[in-house]
Amino acid sequence: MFTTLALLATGAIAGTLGALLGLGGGIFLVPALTLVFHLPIRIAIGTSLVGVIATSAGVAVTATKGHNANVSLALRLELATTAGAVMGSLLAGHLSARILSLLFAAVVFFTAGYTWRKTRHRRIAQGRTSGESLLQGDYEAHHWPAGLGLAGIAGTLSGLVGVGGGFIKVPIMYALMGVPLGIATATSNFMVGITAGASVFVYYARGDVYPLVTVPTVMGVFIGAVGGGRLAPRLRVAWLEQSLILLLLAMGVQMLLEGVGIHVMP
Amino acid sequence: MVTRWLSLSVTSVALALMMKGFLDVAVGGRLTLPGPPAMPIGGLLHPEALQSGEGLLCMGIVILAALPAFRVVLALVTYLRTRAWVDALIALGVLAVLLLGTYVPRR
Repeated sequence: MFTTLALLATGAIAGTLGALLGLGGGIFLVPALTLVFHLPIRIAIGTSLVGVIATSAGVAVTATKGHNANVSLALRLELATTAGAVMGSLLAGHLSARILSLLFAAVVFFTAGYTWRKTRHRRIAQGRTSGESLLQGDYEAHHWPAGLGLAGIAGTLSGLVGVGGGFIKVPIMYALMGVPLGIATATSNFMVGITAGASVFVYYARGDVYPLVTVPTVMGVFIGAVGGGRLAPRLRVAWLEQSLILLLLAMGVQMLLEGVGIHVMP
Repeated sequence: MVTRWLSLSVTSVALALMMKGFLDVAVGGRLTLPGPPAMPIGGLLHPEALQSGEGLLCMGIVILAALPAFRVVLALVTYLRTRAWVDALIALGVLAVLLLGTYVPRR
């Protein structure tokens, strides 16, 4: 019973952080389930994918008006992302746990770098743009071939390591395709659930989803995502992002060590 | 607003099934982690599967996992109603890929 409550608490923390920081929550769940609960990485990934869908649902439930995703843009990119996610999840069944751990460590380091850049960019943007320009309506997405190609890579990574992939999708839309940051973030939140939905059934069918692990974790994630969604407008997340970078670096190092066969967690 | 209502309804049903299933398993003294892997989706179609706590847990997970597909169906219906044929075709393509993900042989 203690382990079940610990899974619920872990899910709640992942859901809260995911909703506050615009991530799916998988980036916290996979290391927590493998390093703390000592679960095989494929079970952790299967659980994480259901958790990403729960975060996406929690955010949708608490979404405020005026932050609507561009569904048409999301679905166009999802053509590539979901295809990549199915391929990635099929590929994950043939890779060793060590390679998956190393891959996950790389994704964690990339996310830490992305979060650091986002924090810096927000500070600069606060000085020169208003909130409205983040959500301006008169834009046209461009660089479609590159955007679709990178979206496919984001989907493959999502299927391989069980994360939503928002940390790749937002820069693709914002920096490459010229979509305003606010719309790119909302569109990415809509997309991560669909991407996880493409992979989760592959893990389910392969027998990598364990209900007694998944259910308490996902319940925690949903509670955390709804709570995080309600807290978000009242919180300054800058300090949270800085703590997150340190946490991600620590988790990345742990996963890297697991990948090379050094077990540091008791 | 419709997306919010859909997310809330589907998630509520899924969480209710998960909670009922979890209570059944806990009361039955079968709460040993990590427990067995999830039942195949085909097995959940039999009415007796929903008599057991494990079946309810799996059904809850499957319903929650299908939420993104429901959201794409909602977008598809909206595009068809507004005669946005290209967007409807794209939504149909995404749905096809999501369905493809369910056709994977069990290990």
